[in-house]
Amino acid sequence: MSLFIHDHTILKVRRHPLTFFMQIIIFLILLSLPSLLDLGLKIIDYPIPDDEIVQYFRKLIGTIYYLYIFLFILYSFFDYFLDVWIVTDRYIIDIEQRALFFRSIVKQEIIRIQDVTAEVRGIIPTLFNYGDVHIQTAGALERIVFHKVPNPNGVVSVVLKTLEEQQKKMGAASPMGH
Amino acid sequence: MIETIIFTIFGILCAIWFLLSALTIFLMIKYNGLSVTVWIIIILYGIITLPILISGISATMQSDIDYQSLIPKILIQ
Repeated sequence: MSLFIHDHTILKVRRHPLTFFMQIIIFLILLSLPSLLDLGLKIIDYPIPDDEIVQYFRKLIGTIYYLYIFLFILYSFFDYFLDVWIVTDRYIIDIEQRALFFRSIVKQEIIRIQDVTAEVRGIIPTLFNYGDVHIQTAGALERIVFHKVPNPNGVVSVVLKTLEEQQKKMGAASPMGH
Repeated sequence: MIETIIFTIFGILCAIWFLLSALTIFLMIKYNGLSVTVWIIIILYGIITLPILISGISATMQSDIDYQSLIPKILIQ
């Protein structure tokens, strides 16, 4: 990404893939709904009309229904894939695709970090080790949150280590030599 | 008349779907570049959805539904 030409990328994370797959499960259920409905009607012996017109409309409505379900799957992937959090040697970058035409990019100097915490809440996040990383900063945007990232404690370690290195560099570069 | 309305509605919905799909893919390429993942998604999406679209369109083109009889049938049912 051209924003970060002079920076060295230390970490680039997205949400845990499981969060995307859990959304896919919902869409798979929706995809199978028409078949389940047909099966249910057959089981209860409901007389499904075999009219040419009925079959024709079923095909049309089915086409639209399936096309839009796949479109929603594509959009879910788009939303998952374009949310990225990057730690460089000097910056924390929060890139979030909030809607189709709404993208927010927040870039905060790593030296302004005041507090970093990891939060893993729930059975599935605990089992699969994913959660939120909250970064408190001294900037205009007080808090950056990495949502549902894998190994949040590892991410905290990386951020703190990078902060420490940056502080050492700035201390060494200081004219007072501290 | 009924045929025109059905084709128009179906056509508009398909056009909206196509537009939104193209926009989503375009934005994915714009923000992420043409990486392997994006290519795989585009190809998979095309493989799955285009046959559905084609089968729907061909169903509308090939049908020999007697649209004139639709109104009485709808009224009866």
